[in-house]
Amino acid sequence: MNTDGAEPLIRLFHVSKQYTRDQRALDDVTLEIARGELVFLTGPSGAGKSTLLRLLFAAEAPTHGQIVIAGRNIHRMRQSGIPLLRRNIGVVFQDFKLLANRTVWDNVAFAMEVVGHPPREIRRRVGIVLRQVGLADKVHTFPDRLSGGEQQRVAIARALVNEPAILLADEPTGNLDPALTFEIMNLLVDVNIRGTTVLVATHDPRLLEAFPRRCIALRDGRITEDGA
Amino acid sequence: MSAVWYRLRYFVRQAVGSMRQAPLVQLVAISTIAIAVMVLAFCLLVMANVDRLAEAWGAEVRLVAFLNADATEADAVALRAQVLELPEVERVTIRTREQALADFREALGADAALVEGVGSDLLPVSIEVGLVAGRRDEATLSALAERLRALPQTAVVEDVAWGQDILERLRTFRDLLRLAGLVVAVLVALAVVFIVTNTVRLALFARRDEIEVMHLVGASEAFVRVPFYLEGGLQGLLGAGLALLTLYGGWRLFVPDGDVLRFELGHVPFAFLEFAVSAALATGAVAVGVLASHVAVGRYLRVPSGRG
Repeated sequence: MNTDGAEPLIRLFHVSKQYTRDQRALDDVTLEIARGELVFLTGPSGAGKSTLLRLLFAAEAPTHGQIVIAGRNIHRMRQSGIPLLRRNIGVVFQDFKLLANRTVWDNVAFAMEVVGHPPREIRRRVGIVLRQVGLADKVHTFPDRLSGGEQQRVAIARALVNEPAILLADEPTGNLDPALTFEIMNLLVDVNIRGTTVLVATHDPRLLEAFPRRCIALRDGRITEDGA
Repeated sequence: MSAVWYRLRYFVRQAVGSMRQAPLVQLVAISTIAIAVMVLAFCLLVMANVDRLAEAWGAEVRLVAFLNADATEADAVALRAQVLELPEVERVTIRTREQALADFREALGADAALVEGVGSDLLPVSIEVGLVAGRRDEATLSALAERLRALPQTAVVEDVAWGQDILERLRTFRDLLRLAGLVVAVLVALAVVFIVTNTVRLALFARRDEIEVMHLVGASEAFVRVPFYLEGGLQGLLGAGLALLTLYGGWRLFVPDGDVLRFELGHVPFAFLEFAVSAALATGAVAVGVLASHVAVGRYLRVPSGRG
């Protein structure tokens, strides 16, 4: 990836996403996110937050417009280049998406295994990242024995283990009570401080109040506000 | 250890792990493949041994030319000299009238008294023609018979006999077997495709969460697909292996020393399928298994990117 700090890490040019003829999930969205930023993406349900994140990790293609990540236009990328893009983008979801039949350690190690890292490197990185999210003592535990907050920590560890430049979090605290919400958000801030660009989609106003950062508000697929 | 080794180990572990998750499904699938492959292998085994039988019988088959009643032994000697010049002919034996009568008596056994007092001039002089190895087939025999009939000595050759009926019947039987083998081969391939696609689809369904995570963290398409291909190939290999072992066990049981069956026409060296044929069967089953997996995973395992 391009490490030139002067160029924004994420750029969207007039991006639209249309699922049906009369419903636009995103409508002419143009924005830039600098390397190292922590940005909130906010708005009511159906505003287009999740769609925007899905376009960023190339789970979907925009109907119109261009998306450039670290200087590379996703639209012009070959299909075989998409997995490589995703290795640089960690993603965290509201429902965690952990594998129930694997332990905490195996869930995190899986993300490195399937991109072909050698076992020694996997052991080293998984150990580091699990300590970072505070789960070093739960490595042999299965997800169903963990609290919601702990499960989300595992998901964050999995998203970070391949050392991505970008972390996308889609309603990461949506299933958590207030105490755990702040615990997870603090972890994301910590990840951001270590250099990862973080984009958090949320409709929880308490988060925006407690963590004053740049906030991009969406409504009906359009940006209605962009600022601190 | 190299990266290739790690990947290989990962693929095998995933494929075997996936198979162990549903042992009963795998058992049914592998057994069904085994039965299908066994039917095909059995056809091939019968075909190979019928070919051996044909070869063995061919060695025994002689062409006999009966001379007419007026022909003398001198005619037979002249004819023998001429026939011996033909490249496909190995030897020519003259059977005098006396020898023919003696043979006839022997053939009648206890009823030999029936020909008591019959003169040797009743039976014709004949020549027996043996062919060189490798030319003892129906086509050569038929051509030689025609040639003998067309020789200038036609005047002395009354009739030519060469076991035409039995060889023709054998040929028809072999043709039928080949056709049956072909039909069975196609049916077996279809059965393997059907079984493997269904079990691989079940495995896909069981591992859908894993596949979603793999796509999410940037696993390449090959990394997601290869374990499924391996699973299909392994099913084919295990099925074919089981089939060949069972068939070999049955063969050893019913044909203990491999060549106990003897026919009046001679000793026939029956044998199990050659190693190359068994290997080809197993390779074919693996290839069909991999192909079926490819069909089963289809577009499902393409990296989702909204590009259609």
